Amino acid sequence: MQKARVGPGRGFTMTISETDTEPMAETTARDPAARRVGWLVALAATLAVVTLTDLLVGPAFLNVFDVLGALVAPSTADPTVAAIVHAIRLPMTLMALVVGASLGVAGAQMQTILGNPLASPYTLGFSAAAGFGAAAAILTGVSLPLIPGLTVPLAAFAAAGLACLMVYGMAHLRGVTAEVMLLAGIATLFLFQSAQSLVQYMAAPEVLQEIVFWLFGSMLKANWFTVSVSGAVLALALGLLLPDLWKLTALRMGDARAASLGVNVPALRRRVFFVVALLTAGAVSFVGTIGFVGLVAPHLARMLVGEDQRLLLPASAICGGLVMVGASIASKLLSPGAVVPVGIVTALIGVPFLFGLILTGRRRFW
Amino acid sequence: MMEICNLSVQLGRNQVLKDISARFAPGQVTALIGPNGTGKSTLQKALAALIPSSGVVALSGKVPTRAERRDLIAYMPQDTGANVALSVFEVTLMGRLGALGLRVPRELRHEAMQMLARFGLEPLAHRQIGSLSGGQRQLVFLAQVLFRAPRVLLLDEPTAALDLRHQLVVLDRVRADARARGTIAIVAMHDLSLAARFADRILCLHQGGIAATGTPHEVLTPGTLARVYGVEAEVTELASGGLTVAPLRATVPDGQLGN
Repeated sequence: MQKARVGPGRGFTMTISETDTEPMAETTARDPAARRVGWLVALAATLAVVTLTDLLVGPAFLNVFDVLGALVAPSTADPTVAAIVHAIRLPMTLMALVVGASLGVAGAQMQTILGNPLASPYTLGFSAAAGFGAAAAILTGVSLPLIPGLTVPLAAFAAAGLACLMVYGMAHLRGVTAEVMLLAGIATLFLFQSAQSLVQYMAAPEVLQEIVFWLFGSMLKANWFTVSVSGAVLALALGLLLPDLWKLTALRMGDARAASLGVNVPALRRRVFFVVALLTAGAVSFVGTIGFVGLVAPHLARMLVGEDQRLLLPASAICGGLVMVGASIASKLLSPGAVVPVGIVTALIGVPFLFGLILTGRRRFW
Repeated sequence: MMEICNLSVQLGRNQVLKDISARFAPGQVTALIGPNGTGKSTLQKALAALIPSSGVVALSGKVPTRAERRDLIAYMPQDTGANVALSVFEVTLMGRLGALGLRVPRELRHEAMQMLARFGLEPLAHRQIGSLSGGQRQLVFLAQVLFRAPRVLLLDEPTAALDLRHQLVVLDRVRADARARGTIAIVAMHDLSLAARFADRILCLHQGGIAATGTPHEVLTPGTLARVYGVEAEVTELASGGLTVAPLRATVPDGQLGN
């Protein structure tokens, strides 16, 4: 490091170039992430425990050891227990994990690209559109040849894609700024909510019941196929976000500051917008609308590990999974012998949590 | 050497800058002066390719693409607001955004800490940026932009939030850095005495064009100040060879300047 002449500053008490050639202690120059990586490990360990607990809890009242036996050695376990665990509980738990993680990541990135702490994966109308798509498919009763079981999820996915294109189209025409996206997104949200209400209004009572059940958001719709697809979407999204982690951290300081560091802000916002749309559609198309996870999980993660996206991204995923699997356990315990749709429970535990967040006044984390 | 030729910026219906042509030498500090709203920040943003502009910007005889310009030219905005849970050390590290990966190389961490030490900010390294005062934040962002080690350094009123001592220390640091690394430094500022003290050259903007350019002695004349700022000012030459500019009275009523 060069040693610069400090004319008028020579007599000042500030520590300037005189210390330049001194070697720095390694402890002061540690990677900032290293100080907080312990939180990530603790979160992951908690998630493992909660996930296992979710597998042990269910309306069939299975013995804990039987479930563990079916998990560890399915060939020697009771066939009924093994069937329940492998065909029902494991896909439901894994789906809760994947959907929670997807919504956690999507929420964190939506808050980043919109620069708004109240943004969630649903802010820009993707979920309302998915709801409309599913409701329209249920109302019309159409079914795709060869893959009739996928008609509703595909309709939901397609409608979410349409909402994504609408918001993107507006941003493309008027400028890829947070304000334009937010305004276009909220308009899209209201549009699809109205369309969804219209479909519900037109539906016969039994069809309406089916639509409402879909909209609740429930892991009962999960199976190994849905887990695989949603899991693949999550893996793809994480892979796409990986090269932009530092740029996204920089974006948290605002557009001007990020741009001054050489970040092409509109291009970054565009890329991440599509990843969020993909994640949200991938999560809600199979299981329905799950509220609040995408809003709360990023805040929880940010409180624990800060803004560094190298930690915030995995922490948001883990916190999302944690809230979702936790809600799944609560949904089974609420009414023994039955499973309350998890979408109802997440909102119930989400609202008090958000109020708590506001009351503790930790504004700097927003 | 950076040359700009016929640089113009149109924002909506507003022609903010019109046919700006100038040359900037490596290792030199140029003060960008002019009344409020005259296009100082716009010129800096246009040079850094942060806003659309027409005309040519050439670096060392080559015309870089806009993406290359964003890499080579660093702009430090005037705004020091940062309500975000990032530490001073993290903010400084981000000066070299392109070199950061999942792991931050030890050498880079070491250099970032040394840069903080150069501004006396080492004790604040692990404080949240949002918890600092405006002046301290300005120092951190300055450390960040210098850590980036750009070919061209554009600073938008870098001393606006600083006390007298820090104004001197910061500008001295910028000049030393420009001299040592051959950086082209262009600093927008309002304090004309400070501009005379630290700048090798002054570029004075007025109504989106260049009103005067040259050494501080050539530009900071009572005539130019009356024409550009609408003030009667006393310009005194110091024994050290510097200049002080003391505004005496406004000669143009409010609202008529620039008409």
